[in-house]
Amino acid sequence: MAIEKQDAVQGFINHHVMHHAGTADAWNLPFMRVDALEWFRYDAVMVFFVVALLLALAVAVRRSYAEIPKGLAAVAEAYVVFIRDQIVYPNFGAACGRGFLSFFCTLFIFILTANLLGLVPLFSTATGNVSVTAGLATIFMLVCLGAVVKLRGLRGLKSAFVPHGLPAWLTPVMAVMEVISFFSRVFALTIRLFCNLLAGHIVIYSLLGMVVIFGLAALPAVLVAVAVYFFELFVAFLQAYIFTLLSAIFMNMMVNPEH
Amino acid sequence: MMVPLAMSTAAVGAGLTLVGAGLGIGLLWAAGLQSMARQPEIQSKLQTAMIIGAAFIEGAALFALVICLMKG
Repeated sequence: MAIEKQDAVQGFINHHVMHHAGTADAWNLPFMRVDALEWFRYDAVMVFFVVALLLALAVAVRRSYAEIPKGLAAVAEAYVVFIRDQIVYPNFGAACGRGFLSFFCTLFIFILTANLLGLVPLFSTATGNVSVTAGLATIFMLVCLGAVVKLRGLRGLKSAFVPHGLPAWLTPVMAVMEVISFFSRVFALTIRLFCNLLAGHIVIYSLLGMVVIFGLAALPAVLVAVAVYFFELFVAFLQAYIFTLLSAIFMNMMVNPEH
Repeated sequence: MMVPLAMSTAAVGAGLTLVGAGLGIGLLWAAGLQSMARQPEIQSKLQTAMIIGAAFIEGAALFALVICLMKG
Protein backbone atom coordinates (compact mmCIF):
# COMPACT_ATOMS: atom_id res chain seq x y z
CA MET A 1 0.00 0.00 0.00
CA ALA A 2 2.78 2.41 0.89
CA ILE A 3 4.67 1.44 -2.26
CA GLU A 4 1.70 2.41 -4.41
CA LYS A 5 1.46 5.76 -2.72
CA GLN A 6 5.20 6.24 -3.12
CA ASP A 7 4.84 5.44 -6.79
CA ALA A 8 2.01 7.93 -7.03
CA VAL A 9 4.11 10.65 -5.44
CA GLN A 10 7.07 9.77 -7.63
CA GLY A 11 4.85 9.87 -10.67
CA PHE A 12 3.43 13.22 -9.62
CA ILE A 13 6.88 14.69 -9.13
CA ASN A 14 8.06 13.29 -12.45
CA HIS A 15 5.03 14.57 -14.26
CA HIS A 16 5.10 17.98 -12.64
CA VAL A 17 8.79 18.57 -12.92
CA MET A 18 9.80 16.80 -16.09
CA HIS A 19 6.72 17.70 -18.06
CA HIS A 20 5.84 21.10 -16.74
CA ALA A 21 9.47 22.09 -16.67
CA GLY A 22 9.57 22.83 -20.31
CA THR A 23 7.06 20.98 -22.40
CA ALA A 24 3.84 21.84 -20.63
CA ASP A 25 1.17 22.34 -23.21
CA ALA A 26 -1.43 24.14 -21.14
CA TRP A 27 -1.71 26.69 -18.38
CA ASN A 28 -4.39 25.69 -15.93
CA LEU A 29 -5.63 28.89 -14.33
CA PRO A 30 -8.63 28.83 -11.96
CA PHE A 31 -11.36 29.63 -14.46
CA MET A 32 -9.72 29.17 -17.78
CA ARG A 33 -7.19 27.03 -19.48
CA VAL A 34 -4.72 28.50 -21.90
CA ASP A 35 -3.49 26.03 -24.46
CA ALA A 36 0.04 26.60 -25.65
CA LEU A 37 1.03 26.51 -29.28
CA GLU A 38 2.93 23.59 -30.65
CA TRP A 39 6.19 25.51 -30.74
CA PHE A 40 5.68 27.85 -27.78
CA ARG A 41 5.45 26.09 -24.46
CA TYR A 42 4.55 27.26 -21.00
CA ASP A 43 7.95 28.45 -19.84
CA ALA A 44 8.27 30.53 -22.98
CA VAL A 45 4.97 32.18 -21.97
CA MET A 46 6.52 32.85 -18.57
CA VAL A 47 9.58 34.45 -20.16
CA PHE A 48 7.39 36.80 -22.15
CA PHE A 49 5.37 37.57 -19.04
CA VAL A 50 8.55 38.51 -17.18
CA VAL A 51 9.64 40.70 -20.09
CA ALA A 52 6.24 42.43 -20.21
CA LEU A 53 6.34 43.04 -16.46
CA LEU A 54 9.82 44.52 -16.63
CA LEU A 55 8.89 46.71 -19.57
CA ALA A 56 5.86 48.03 -17.66
CA LEU A 57 8.10 48.77 -14.67
CA ALA A 58 10.61 50.54 -16.90
CA VAL A 59 7.92 52.71 -18.46
CA ALA A 60 6.60 53.58 -15.00
CA VAL A 61 10.09 54.54 -13.80
CA ARG A 62 10.72 56.60 -16.90
CA ARG A 63 7.47 58.43 -16.55
CA SER A 64 8.00 59.29 -12.89
CA TYR A 65 11.56 60.44 -13.36
CA ALA A 66 12.24 63.94 -12.01
CA GLU A 67 15.32 65.96 -11.10
CA ILE A 68 15.39 64.43 -7.64
CA PRO A 69 13.91 60.96 -8.03
CA LYS A 70 11.30 59.78 -5.60
CA GLY A 71 9.44 56.53 -5.22
CA LEU A 72 9.91 53.99 -7.96
CA ALA A 73 12.61 55.98 -9.73
CA ALA A 74 14.62 56.17 -6.49
CA VAL A 75 14.44 52.40 -6.15
CA ALA A 76 15.59 52.01 -9.75
CA GLU A 77 18.50 54.35 -9.13
CA ALA A 78 19.50 52.52 -5.97
CA TYR A 79 19.40 49.27 -7.91
CA VAL A 80 21.60 50.57 -10.73
CA VAL A 81 24.05 52.03 -8.21
CA PHE A 82 24.18 48.66 -6.46
CA ILE A 83 25.00 46.83 -9.69
CA ARG A 84 27.50 49.47 -10.70
CA ASP A 85 29.40 49.69 -7.43
CA GLN A 86 29.27 46.07 -6.35
CA ILE A 87 29.50 44.13 -9.60
CA VAL A 88 30.62 46.14 -12.62
CA TYR A 89 33.14 48.75 -11.45
CA PRO A 90 35.11 46.47 -9.08
CA ASN A 91 35.69 44.13 -12.00
CA PHE A 92 35.99 46.36 -15.05
CA GLY A 93 37.07 49.71 -13.72
CA ALA A 94 35.15 52.92 -14.27
CA ALA A 95 35.98 53.63 -17.91
CA CYS A 96 35.50 50.18 -19.36
CA GLY A 97 32.57 49.27 -17.13
CA ARG A 98 30.32 52.09 -18.26
CA GLY A 99 29.53 50.35 -21.52
CA PHE A 100 28.66 47.05 -19.85
CA LEU A 101 26.49 48.42 -17.09
CA SER A 102 23.16 48.10 -18.90
CA PHE A 103 23.82 44.49 -19.87
CA PHE A 104 24.45 43.43 -16.29
CA CYS A 105 21.54 45.41 -14.94
CA THR A 106 19.25 43.69 -17.42
CA LEU A 107 20.67 40.28 -16.60
CA PHE A 108 20.23 40.68 -12.87
CA ILE A 109 16.70 42.07 -12.92
CA PHE A 110 15.53 39.50 -15.46
CA ILE A 111 16.86 36.52 -13.52
CA LEU A 112 15.62 37.92 -10.22
CA THR A 113 12.11 38.55 -11.53
CA ALA A 114 11.91 35.14 -13.20
CA ASN A 115 13.09 33.42 -10.00
CA LEU A 116 10.65 35.30 -7.81
CA LEU A 117 7.68 34.75 -10.11
CA GLY A 118 8.29 31.04 -9.87
CA LEU A 119 7.38 31.23 -6.21
CA VAL A 120 3.92 32.64 -6.93
CA PRO A 121 1.36 29.78 -6.89
CA LEU A 122 0.04 29.54 -10.42
CA PHE A 123 3.19 30.48 -12.28
CA SER A 124 6.16 28.38 -13.25
CA THR A 125 9.79 29.29 -12.88
CA ALA A 126 11.10 30.49 -16.19
CA THR A 127 14.70 30.07 -15.09
CA GLY A 128 13.89 26.59 -13.80
CA ASN A 129 13.93 25.44 -17.39
CA VAL A 130 17.29 24.49 -18.79
CA SER A 131 16.43 26.02 -22.16
CA VAL A 132 15.93 29.44 -20.63
CA THR A 133 19.14 29.37 -18.63
CA ALA A 134 21.01 27.98 -21.62
CA GLY A 135 19.66 30.92 -23.61
CA LEU A 136 20.87 33.35 -20.96
CA ALA A 137 24.32 31.78 -20.92
CA THR A 138 24.46 31.81 -24.72
CA ILE A 139 23.62 35.50 -24.72
CA PHE A 140 26.40 36.02 -22.19
CA MET A 141 28.80 34.07 -24.40
CA LEU A 142 27.89 36.10 -27.49
CA VAL A 143 28.17 39.40 -25.62
CA CYS A 144 31.55 38.30 -24.27
CA LEU A 145 32.92 37.39 -27.70
CA GLY A 146 31.37 40.50 -29.23
CA ALA A 147 32.93 42.71 -26.58
CA VAL A 148 36.34 41.16 -27.16
CA VAL A 149 36.05 41.67 -30.91
CA LYS A 150 34.72 45.21 -30.57
CA LEU A 151 37.24 46.40 -28.01
CA ARG A 152 40.33 44.73 -29.34
CA GLY A 153 39.53 43.73 -32.90
CA LEU A 154 39.93 40.26 -34.24
CA ARG A 155 43.43 40.04 -32.77
CA GLY A 156 41.70 40.37 -29.42
CA LEU A 157 40.29 36.88 -29.83
CA LYS A 158 43.79 35.56 -30.16
CA SER A 159 45.04 37.44 -27.14
CA ALA A 160 42.03 36.40 -25.06
CA PHE A 161 42.45 32.69 -25.69
CA VAL A 162 46.18 32.27 -26.08
CA PRO A 163 48.06 33.09 -22.90
CA HIS A 164 51.32 34.99 -22.92
CA GLY A 165 54.66 34.28 -21.43
CA LEU A 166 54.75 30.55 -21.99
CA PRO A 167 57.32 28.37 -23.74
CA ALA A 168 56.47 27.78 -27.39
CA TRP A 169 55.66 24.11 -27.05
CA LEU A 170 53.16 24.74 -24.25
CA THR A 171 51.08 27.44 -25.93
CA PRO A 172 48.85 25.23 -28.17
CA VAL A 173 47.94 23.03 -25.22
CA MET A 174 47.10 26.02 -23.07
CA ALA A 175 45.08 27.60 -25.89
CA VAL A 176 42.96 24.45 -26.17
CA MET A 177 42.52 24.44 -22.41
CA GLU A 178 41.47 28.08 -22.41
CA VAL A 179 38.81 27.41 -25.05
CA ILE A 180 37.56 24.38 -23.13
CA SER A 181 37.44 26.34 -19.90
CA PHE A 182 35.48 29.12 -21.63
CA PHE A 183 32.81 26.68 -22.73
CA SER A 184 32.77 24.93 -19.39
CA ARG A 185 32.21 28.25 -17.63
CA VAL A 186 29.20 28.95 -19.87
CA PHE A 187 27.89 25.45 -19.20
CA ALA A 188 28.41 25.85 -15.46
CA LEU A 189 26.46 29.10 -15.48
CA THR A 190 23.43 27.48 -17.06
CA ILE A 191 23.49 24.35 -14.91
CA ARG A 192 24.04 26.23 -11.67
CA LEU A 193 21.06 28.54 -12.14
CA PHE A 194 18.80 25.81 -13.53
CA CYS A 195 19.58 23.25 -10.82
CA ASN A 196 19.31 25.65 -7.92
CA LEU A 197 15.91 26.80 -9.05
CA LEU A 198 14.57 23.39 -9.96
CA ALA A 199 15.87 21.63 -6.86
CA GLY A 200 13.93 23.91 -4.54
CA HIS A 201 10.70 23.06 -6.32
CA ILE A 202 11.42 19.33 -6.27
CA VAL A 203 12.11 19.44 -2.53
CA ILE A 204 8.83 21.22 -1.88
CA TYR A 205 6.92 18.75 -4.05
CA SER A 206 8.54 15.81 -2.28
CA LEU A 207 7.75 17.18 1.14
CA LEU A 208 4.16 17.81 0.20
CA GLY A 209 4.03 14.35 -1.30
CA MET A 210 4.68 12.99 2.17
CA VAL A 211 1.16 14.08 2.99
CA VAL A 212 -0.12 11.81 0.25
CA ILE A 213 1.78 8.87 1.66
CA PHE A 214 1.40 9.36 5.38
CA GLY A 215 -1.70 11.46 5.80
CA LEU A 216 -2.14 13.64 8.88
CA ALA A 217 1.09 12.43 10.51
CA ALA A 218 3.00 14.37 7.88
CA LEU A 219 2.11 17.80 9.29
CA PRO A 220 5.74 18.60 10.27
CA ALA A 221 6.67 17.97 6.64
CA VAL A 222 4.36 20.79 5.61
CA LEU A 223 6.07 23.11 8.09
CA VAL A 224 9.46 22.08 6.71
CA ALA A 225 8.09 22.79 3.23
CA VAL A 226 7.22 26.32 4.35
CA ALA A 227 10.77 26.73 5.68
CA VAL A 228 12.18 25.48 2.38
CA TYR A 229 9.94 28.01 0.61
CA PHE A 230 11.58 30.84 2.52
CA PHE A 231 14.99 29.38 1.81
CA GLU A 232 14.05 29.30 -1.86
CA LEU A 233 13.25 33.01 -1.63
CA PHE A 234 16.80 33.62 -0.44
CA VAL A 235 18.19 31.33 -3.15
CA ALA A 236 16.30 33.35 -5.80
CA PHE A 237 18.18 36.52 -4.84
CA LEU A 238 21.47 34.71 -4.32
CA GLN A 239 21.45 32.91 -7.65
CA ALA A 240 20.62 36.07 -9.57
CA TYR A 241 23.52 37.81 -7.86
CA ILE A 242 25.89 34.88 -8.44
CA PHE A 243 25.01 34.63 -12.14
CA THR A 244 25.58 38.34 -12.68
CA LEU A 245 28.77 38.45 -10.61
CA LEU A 246 30.31 35.43 -12.31
CA SER A 247 29.36 36.81 -15.73
CA ALA A 248 31.15 40.03 -14.84
CA ILE A 249 34.23 38.18 -13.58
CA PHE A 250 34.42 35.91 -16.63
CA MET A 251 33.83 38.75 -19.06
CA ASN A 252 36.52 40.78 -17.35
CA MET A 253 38.92 37.87 -17.65
CA MET A 254 38.32 37.78 -21.38
CA VAL A 255 38.14 41.47 -22.20
CA ASN A 256 41.07 42.57 -20.03
CA PRO A 257 43.35 39.56 -19.91
CA GLU A 258 45.85 39.89 -17.12
CA HIS A 259 49.29 39.13 -18.40
CA MET B 1 12.47 0.91 -12.60
CA MET B 2 11.24 1.51 -9.10
CA VAL B 3 13.42 -0.55 -6.75
CA PRO B 4 12.84 -0.34 -3.00
CA LEU B 5 14.16 2.87 -1.52
CA ALA B 6 17.08 1.31 0.35
CA MET B 7 18.75 0.06 -2.80
CA SER B 8 18.37 3.01 -5.12
CA THR B 9 21.80 3.76 -6.55
CA ALA B 10 20.74 7.21 -7.62
CA ALA B 11 20.06 8.08 -4.01
CA VAL B 12 23.47 6.73 -2.96
CA GLY B 13 25.09 8.85 -5.66
CA ALA B 14 23.23 11.92 -4.49
CA GLY B 15 24.35 11.28 -0.93
CA LEU B 16 27.98 11.01 -1.98
CA THR B 17 27.61 14.25 -3.92
CA LEU B 18 26.35 15.89 -0.77
CA VAL B 19 29.37 14.64 1.20
CA GLY B 20 31.73 16.22 -1.32
CA ALA B 21 29.87 19.51 -1.47
CA GLY B 22 29.43 19.73 2.28
CA LEU B 23 33.12 19.08 2.91
CA GLY B 24 34.14 21.67 0.34
CA ILE B 25 31.85 24.41 1.54
CA GLY B 26 32.57 23.63 5.18
CA LEU B 27 36.34 23.89 4.70
CA LEU B 28 35.90 27.09 2.76
CA TRP B 29 33.80 28.76 5.42
CA ALA B 30 36.04 27.50 8.21
CA ALA B 31 39.04 29.20 6.61
CA GLY B 32 36.96 32.31 5.99
CA LEU B 33 35.73 32.50 9.58
CA GLN B 34 39.26 32.16 10.93
CA SER B 35 40.42 34.97 8.68
CA MET B 36 37.47 37.12 9.72
CA ALA B 37 38.39 36.55 13.35
CA ARG B 38 41.95 37.64 12.72
CA GLN B 39 41.08 40.74 10.70
CA PRO B 40 37.53 41.95 11.26
CA GLU B 41 37.96 44.98 9.02
CA ILE B 42 37.97 42.99 5.75
CA GLN B 43 34.85 41.10 6.71
CA SER B 44 32.72 42.20 3.76
CA LYS B 45 35.37 41.34 1.17
CA LEU B 46 35.82 37.93 2.73
CA GLN B 47 32.09 37.35 2.75
CA THR B 48 31.83 38.13 -0.95
CA ALA B 49 34.70 35.80 -1.77
CA MET B 50 33.22 33.04 0.34
CA ILE B 51 29.85 33.27 -1.33
CA ILE B 52 31.49 33.09 -4.76
CA GLY B 53 33.47 30.02 -3.74
CA ALA B 54 30.37 28.38 -2.32
CA ALA B 55 28.56 29.01 -5.61
CA PHE B 56 31.34 27.27 -7.56
CA ILE B 57 31.30 24.25 -5.28
CA GLU B 58 27.54 24.07 -5.35
CA GLY B 59 27.58 24.25 -9.15
CA ALA B 60 29.88 21.23 -9.31
CA ALA B 61 27.70 19.35 -6.83
CA LEU B 62 24.64 20.12 -8.91
CA PHE B 63 26.28 18.68 -12.06
CA ALA B 64 26.60 15.38 -10.23
CA LEU B 65 23.08 15.70 -8.86
CA VAL B 66 21.67 16.23 -12.36
CA ILE B 67 23.35 13.01 -13.51
CA CYS B 68 21.97 11.17 -10.48
CA LEU B 69 18.48 12.41 -11.27
CA MET B 70 18.78 11.55 -14.93
CA LYS B 71 20.04 8.06 -14.42
CA GLY B 72 17.86 6.96 -11.56
